[in-house]
Amino acid sequence: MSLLTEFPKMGRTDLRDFKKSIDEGFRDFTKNYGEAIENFFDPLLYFLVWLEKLFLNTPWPIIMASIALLVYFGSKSIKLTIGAILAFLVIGYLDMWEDTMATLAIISVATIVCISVGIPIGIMMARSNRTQTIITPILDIMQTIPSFVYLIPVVMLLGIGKVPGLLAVCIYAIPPIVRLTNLGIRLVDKDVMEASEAFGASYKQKLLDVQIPLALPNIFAGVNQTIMMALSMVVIASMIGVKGLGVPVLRAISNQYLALGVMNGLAIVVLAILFDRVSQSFGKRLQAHRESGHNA
Amino acid sequence: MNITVASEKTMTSETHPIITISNLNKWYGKFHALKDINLDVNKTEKIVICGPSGSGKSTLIRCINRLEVHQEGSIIVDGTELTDDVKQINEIRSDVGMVFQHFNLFPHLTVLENCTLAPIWVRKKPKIEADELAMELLKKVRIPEQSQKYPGQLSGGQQQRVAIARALCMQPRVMLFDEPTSALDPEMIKEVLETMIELADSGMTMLVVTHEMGFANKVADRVIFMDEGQIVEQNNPENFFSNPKSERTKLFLSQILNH
Repeated sequence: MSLLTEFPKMGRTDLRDFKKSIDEGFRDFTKNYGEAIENFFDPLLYFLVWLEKLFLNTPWPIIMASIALLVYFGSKSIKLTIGAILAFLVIGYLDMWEDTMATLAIISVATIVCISVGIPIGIMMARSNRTQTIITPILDIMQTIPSFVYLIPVVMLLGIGKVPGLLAVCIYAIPPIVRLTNLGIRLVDKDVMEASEAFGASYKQKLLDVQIPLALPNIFAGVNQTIMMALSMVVIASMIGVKGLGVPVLRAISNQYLALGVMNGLAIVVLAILFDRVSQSFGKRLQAHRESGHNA
Repeated sequence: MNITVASEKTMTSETHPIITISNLNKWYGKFHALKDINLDVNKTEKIVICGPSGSGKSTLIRCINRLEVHQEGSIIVDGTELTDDVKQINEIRSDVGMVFQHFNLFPHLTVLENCTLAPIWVRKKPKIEADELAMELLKKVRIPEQSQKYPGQLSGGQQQRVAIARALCMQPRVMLFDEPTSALDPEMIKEVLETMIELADSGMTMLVVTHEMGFANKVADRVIFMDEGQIVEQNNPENFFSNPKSERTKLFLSQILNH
C-alpha cells in the first residue's frame, strides 16, 4: 500500500553515493586534465589581458577618438557618434572608466570567440539535418540552464579568474549566433541555390559567394544578440573574478548601495545600446542590394 | 506515340547528337514522372517542348543538368554520361546553360557580377577577362547600361535577359530554357523572345520548354509534345501545327492556340 502513497524513490544512501561518484569522477577528471585544459585556454587569457591593458593604459582621449571613429564608420550616423562620445564622457566623469574598459575588453574577446566558433557550427548545422537535430537541444540547454549551474564545473575545472568568466559568458552568448547562422543559410532562396548548382559550383563556392552573403542579415542579427547576451552576463561573470562593471554592481547588491548599482547598471545599458545600434546599421549597409530595389 | 527512335534518327542522321537520352524513367515517390523517354539532340538543333502542366517537360530538361535525379535509363551529354560522380556532374553543368522561369539571379550581386561569378568560379577566368566577356554578352542582350544595378532594380524582362547573358558567359554548348517567359508580364515577353531568337540564329543548341507557339513556329527544328510523362508526338513545326497526329496534341493545340 505504501507504493500508492509514497513515490518510489532511490534509497538515501544510494542517492548519496550516486551523487558522490559523479562529483568524485569530475574531481578526478579535473585533477588529471585541469592543467592541460587551462593551458589550452592560455592564449585566450593572454589576449584578454593584453586587450584590457591596452584599453586601460591608452590615454582616454585616444580611446574616445577611436570609439568615435568606430561608431562613425560602423553606423555612418553623426547623431549616434555624438551620443557615444557624450555617453563615454559621462561614464568617465562618474568614475566608471576603468570598469567600462575592462567590460569592453571581455565583451570584445567573448564576441570574437563566439563568432569564430559559432558561425562554423551554424554552417555545419545548415549543411545537414542530422547535425541540426543533434546540436539544437544542446543550444537549448545552454540557453535555459541557470548560469550558476554551469559555473560549478567551470570553476572546479579552471578555478576563479578571467578565463572561466569568459567561458561562462561564451556558453550563454553563443546560441543566438549559431541558430541565426543556421537559419539564415537555410532561408536562402532555393531558386538562387539552384542557379548556382546549375553552373557546377562547388560547395565552398556556393557557401562563400551565395549562401553567406544572402544570410548576412540573419547572421548579423545573431552577432547583435550574442553581444547583448554577453553584456547581460557581465554581473554573473564578475562573481567568479572577471573585472568590469559587474563588480560594483555585486558590491551594490550586497551593501544596498542604490546609486552605485544604478549607475553601473546604466553604464552596461549604454554599452548595449551602442553595440546594438552600430552593429545593426553596419549589417544593414552590407546589404546594398536591398536599398533601392522595387521588388527585392 | 507511334514515333520510334528509328524515325528520329533518320530525321537527323547527318550530325552527331550532343545529348542522348535513352529509356529515361523518373519517379517522385510513387508518381511516375517520366516514362521511357528517348531523345537525341543534335548540335545546333533547336527543340521546343510543350505540353500541359504536370506533363514532365520541365522535369525532363532539369534531368539533363541533374537538377533532378533520374532512376532508370541514361543521359549522355557531349560524350559524358550523367552518373552520381560529382566531378562529372559539375563538368556537364558547366557546359549546359540554364535559364529559369523565375530568373534566379543572385540578388546580392550586380548584373555584371551575376554574369562573372560562374566563369570566375568554374572556368577560373581572370576577373578582367570575365568582365569583358560579360559586357560583350550584356550588349548582345541589349542591357549593358544596367551592368552596375542590382537585379531587384530591373524589370522582369530585363532580369530574364540578364539571366540569359549570365548563362552564356559560361560559353555553354547547350542552352536549356525552363518556361523562360511564363513569369513575365505580356509586354516583356517579346523582348525576351527576341533575345532567344537572336541566340538561336547564332547557332546555339537549344532546348526550350515554352507555351509560346509563335516562337516554336519561327525557331524550332523540332517540336515535342509531352503528356503524362511521355513524348506523345514530335515533328517539325509545319507538320506539328498543321497536321498533328494524336488526339491529345490536337486538343492541346486547340486549347492554347485559340487564346
